Amino acid sequence: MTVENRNGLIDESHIVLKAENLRKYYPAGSGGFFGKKAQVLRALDGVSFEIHRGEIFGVVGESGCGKSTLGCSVLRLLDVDGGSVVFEGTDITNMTRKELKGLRRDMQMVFQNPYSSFNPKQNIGSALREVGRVHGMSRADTEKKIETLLGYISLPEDILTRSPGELSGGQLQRLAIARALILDPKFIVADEAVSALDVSVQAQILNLLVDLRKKLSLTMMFISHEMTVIEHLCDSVAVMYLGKIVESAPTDELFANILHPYTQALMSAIPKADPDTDKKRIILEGDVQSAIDLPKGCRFASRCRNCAARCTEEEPELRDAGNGHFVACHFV
Amino acid sequence: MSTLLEIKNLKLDLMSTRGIVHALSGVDLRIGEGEIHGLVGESGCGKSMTARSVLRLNNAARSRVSGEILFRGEDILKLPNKELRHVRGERISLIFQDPAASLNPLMTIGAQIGEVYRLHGNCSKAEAREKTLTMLEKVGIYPPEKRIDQYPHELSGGLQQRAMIAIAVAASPDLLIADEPTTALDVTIQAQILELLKDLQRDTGMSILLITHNFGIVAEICDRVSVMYAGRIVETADTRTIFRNPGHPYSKALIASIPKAGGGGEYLATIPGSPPELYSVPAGCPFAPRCGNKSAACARLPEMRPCGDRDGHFAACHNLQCAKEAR
Repeated sequence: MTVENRNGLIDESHIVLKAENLRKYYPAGSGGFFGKKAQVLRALDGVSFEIHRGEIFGVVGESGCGKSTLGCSVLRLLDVDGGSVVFEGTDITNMTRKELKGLRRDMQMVFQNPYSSFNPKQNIGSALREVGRVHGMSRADTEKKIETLLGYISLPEDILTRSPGELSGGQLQRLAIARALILDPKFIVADEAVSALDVSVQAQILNLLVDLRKKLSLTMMFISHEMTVIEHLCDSVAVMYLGKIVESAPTDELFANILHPYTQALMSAIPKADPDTDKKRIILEGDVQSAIDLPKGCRFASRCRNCAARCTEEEPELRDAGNGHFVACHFV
Repeated sequence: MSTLLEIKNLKLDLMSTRGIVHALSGVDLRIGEGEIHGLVGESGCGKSMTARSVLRLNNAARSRVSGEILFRGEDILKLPNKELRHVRGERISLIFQDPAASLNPLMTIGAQIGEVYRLHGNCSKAEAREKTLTMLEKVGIYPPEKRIDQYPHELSGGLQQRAMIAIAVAASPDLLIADEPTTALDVTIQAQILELLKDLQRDTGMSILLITHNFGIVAEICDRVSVMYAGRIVETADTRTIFRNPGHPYSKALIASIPKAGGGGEYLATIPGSPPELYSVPAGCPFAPRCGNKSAACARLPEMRPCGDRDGHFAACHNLQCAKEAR
């Protein structure tokens, strides 16, 4: 997949993270006594992608589509049931806990809710210093790093003595980002990092991320359910539906030329902050199907307006549609 | 358009462990008959407190209210509790953000909707069930015969919110207050629920006060909008005017901070600082410390005054800059 280099920051020749055919199944229902078949929930069902150095890779989808499972799986916070994750040329799929600890320096995560990602009884300084201590950074280095990062996130140094309860969501989310950066990671997963924030604060955090990527040439996987945020920040996007990528492309290409009916419906469902736009939209019938016992054929078939006989028989593969655009639909 | 609900100078103080919170410090709001009125603002600005005050849901022992809430000319704040019961649900009803937390997990949804008919419509059990089935169909819960006997946990988030809406509109209220009704839902489900609210409004002619922090939803379904900041309404206008010609610097800044389609990687406009703590709101304009356009006059509290040349466009700012616009 070629990534359009819209910021001149992406090194296409260097793949930081490569996931191949990732699968994660959860048991759902015991199956039980009477030989009833045990059910599985297919949270990830064959997900493959590459992230290049300096790229912000967006993952978008509705709740339950597997986007958070994907984020946790590539960091090995979850063990996958199939497929492989290759990070900087090393297969990390079967690394032991001990080996993983070294790896954690290079891969960090920022979560959705800043209030629950800080220990309420620990002051901010101690929470940030702990990262350096656990990973064997010297005290002086840690202090210096924290000072630089506080500069980047525009917070005063006396914030280190405060406790999380005294700070606003926006301030805490900046600190969560700073904490993820203390070890100079090569890769960051941000899981709904701006979803819990008000628009004006969300704008501050998005600007901060744009800034930081320029300063530190960050490589990031940015998970969100909001198309507009993804479009604003990411270089390339993967749209997920029920454990599969249904469409992926460089951001500009995707938004100029949406191919998959699900992505079209998803885009159309977003209320536009403009009273004069076309109010006609594609309203999907019903809810997302359960990821337990999926029917054969296309997962989206039951809600798709273009559904035909073939869709309920045969599952579409992710195919190249040109311009780095991949789509899983029989009718594209 | 005649007025259905008029809130005049509503003030609300709440007791908290850290002192008195001035949650609302003079809210003025007018909702017309058959209007969908949006109330927008950031967390903590008093949107939900305004909604709760209209139904007098705040604990009377721990709060202090003043001002007037006139519903068809009658002050809700002065009603005795007995009459209040007939306002709640029958004339004004409320739906909340999280349907799972608002439905009773131990009652079937049929029983919860039927309860409204039995309490407010003096229906027999059989009549109530009949009406409940019709209502389930009306709000799009299919198949009604099966769903009526299901418990909330058997329904998805979108269906739960539909059940909440069914409860709220069962007694045909004149005003439905929807407090962030779609915030907990996915966008595709959100689109369904907004469509449902629009249809219900059209069919029944009720008014809706829609509380949201999402300007997209405002553009989508609201006729008029009020923007709140630090316990006050700072601007009121019809929806198009708020987007095309906002008067108050806060409304302008809020609208500018929304990521736009096609604006990849650029900086978004932000608002410096954060909203004031409501324990001690500073004198003068509460937005002044964050405002890029303040002057000496901002040390005084600005009154709402007409803005632009659109009817019903008001903003509370000393340095209004709305352009004159063609009608």
